[in-house]
Amino acid sequence: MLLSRETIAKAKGGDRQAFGQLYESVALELYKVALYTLGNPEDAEDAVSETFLEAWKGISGLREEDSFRPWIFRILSARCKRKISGYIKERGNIDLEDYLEEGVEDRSPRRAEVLEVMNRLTPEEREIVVLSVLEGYTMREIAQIKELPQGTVSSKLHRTLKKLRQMLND
Amino acid sequence: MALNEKDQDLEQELEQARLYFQDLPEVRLPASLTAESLFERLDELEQKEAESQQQQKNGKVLFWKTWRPVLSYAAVFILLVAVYYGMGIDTQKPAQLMSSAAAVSQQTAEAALPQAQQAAPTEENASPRAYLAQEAPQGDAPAEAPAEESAPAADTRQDSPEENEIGPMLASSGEATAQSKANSEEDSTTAYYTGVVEALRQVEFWPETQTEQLPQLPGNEIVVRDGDLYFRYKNIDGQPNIVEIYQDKGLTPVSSFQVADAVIVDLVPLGDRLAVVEQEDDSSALYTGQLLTPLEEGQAAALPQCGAVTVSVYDLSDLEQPRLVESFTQDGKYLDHMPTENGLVMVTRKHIDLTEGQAALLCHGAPIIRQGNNAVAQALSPQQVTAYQGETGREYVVLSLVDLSGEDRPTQTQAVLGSRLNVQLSPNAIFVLDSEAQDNGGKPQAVFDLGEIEVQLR
Repeated sequence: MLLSRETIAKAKGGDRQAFGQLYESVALELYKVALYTLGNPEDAEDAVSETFLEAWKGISGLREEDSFRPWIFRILSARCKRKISGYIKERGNIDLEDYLEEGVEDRSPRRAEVLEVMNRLTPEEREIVVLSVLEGYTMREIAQIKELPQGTVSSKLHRTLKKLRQMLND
Repeated sequence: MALNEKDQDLEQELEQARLYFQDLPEVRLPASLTAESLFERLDELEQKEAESQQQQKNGKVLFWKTWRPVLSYAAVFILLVAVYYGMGIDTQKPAQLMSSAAAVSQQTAEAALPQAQQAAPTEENASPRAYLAQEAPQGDAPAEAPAEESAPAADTRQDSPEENEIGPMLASSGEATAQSKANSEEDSTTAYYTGVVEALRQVEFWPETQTEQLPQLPGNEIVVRDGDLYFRYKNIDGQPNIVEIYQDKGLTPVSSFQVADAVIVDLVPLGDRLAVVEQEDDSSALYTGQLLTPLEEGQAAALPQCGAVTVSVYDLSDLEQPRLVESFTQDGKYLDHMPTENGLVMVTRKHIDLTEGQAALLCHGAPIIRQGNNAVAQALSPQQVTAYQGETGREYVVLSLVDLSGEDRPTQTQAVLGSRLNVQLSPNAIFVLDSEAQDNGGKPQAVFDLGEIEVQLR
């Protein structure tokens, strides 16, 4: 769904319905990124719901209507960071099999391999990979979301993808 | 590898990764995450909050919430007084500095306390501290700042204590400084300050690590020793960055691991862990400073750039298989470190050269409070803006106390020091030097606020 400026302006003015529309347009993306980053659906739900609340509180201060997406993903990223910091020893093992779409007949071994390899990445690496590969964000957009220099994002992604490829080819 | 080749290589990796990920099945949004469900929960929360506020009005006082901010600001006040006092510490005797600094700061604090009631900020004193005294932001002031930059920290800002309590204390510190300067006329005119340690919550330091050359190993780049272990980093153009671990000065490494593409600038042994500090000075990095006005399209590309420091912590429980366990990134240039019992103190610097037009847009010379990688919106006075506009460069130092103990949630507490400051570390103390303090009337441009800030590591 395209985010119309009118909808965003209404949401900034406190219109719940308008904000609801904005949120629903990115909700699944938010959840996917949180799910792959954190590795478990409970924390992903917490992170997304906290993002929703924080975005609702702060949307009146949104400067540019066009920056809604990177803005709300920045909130999500910060929320995920807080969750991740509680993982220390446990690396947030991904346990997605039970929560992904059921009824997929072709449960290819490749899928299990990809998930296993994702499990071996750090949560930050997973987040960058998901934002880039699954959600299609550019380096610049990811840099805005993560509040990192663009070169750092590019380097991290490059290293992570190489690592992914090597692990999958081994 | 040239930039274009690097971009092409990255693009190829992305294409390959997309092929891998196309096998992943769809994810469904849980029912609890629809807008309707979330608004229902929000309404419940607001109702509970209203009930809670009603209870407070009825006389229930949350003791710890009332006193914690006061104690925190008291610690900040003592630190400010110590810094502004200008003790003229003898640098030949660092061992005596801590005790003398503590004694002087105590004297100064005692002298300053009675004045706190009488101090009145004036408009002539347009330093950032005076601004805080004059126009101490109310509880809702930070919320008015653009949510675009500050939303990730919104909850913490709303939980922070009322800032008007610090106003009178900060305003009085100016008079305390004058008083203590009068008392220290016999001290050296060189402005040396010992600070931060107490404010960083009584950090205890390890015995110093030693750096020494391994004569058997030519071409050393960085070599650090910790007990019977030696960590060596080789920097060879065109070769991957490799860290080697030697034991008992053996000529063959026990193990080695590849780190990153960025240049390694330091190795910090931390017990059974090793922190690898990387510096990236990518020209495409964008400085995330505090903007005063929205940028026009295209202006963002013209902003100055600063590098980024990444600290990667490896678990060395199994020397033969080092394992990456932590990683965080902070913008700026790495200067130095000090290991602590639970982590390390990291010193980084930001230096920005600006054109006059860029200086008019940025006001990063003013101290900012950071939470992890997020800059909390800082209320700025017109005087502060005027003071920094037209300048061609600003520089400030960031001290980060990073807790890597792993037992609890890791935390990173930061102090941001103003421009023209230099930081020197000895094994047991952090020295903040301002050689131009005399020109500025003994007042370094620095504001510390460590009271309520407990930040996430990454």
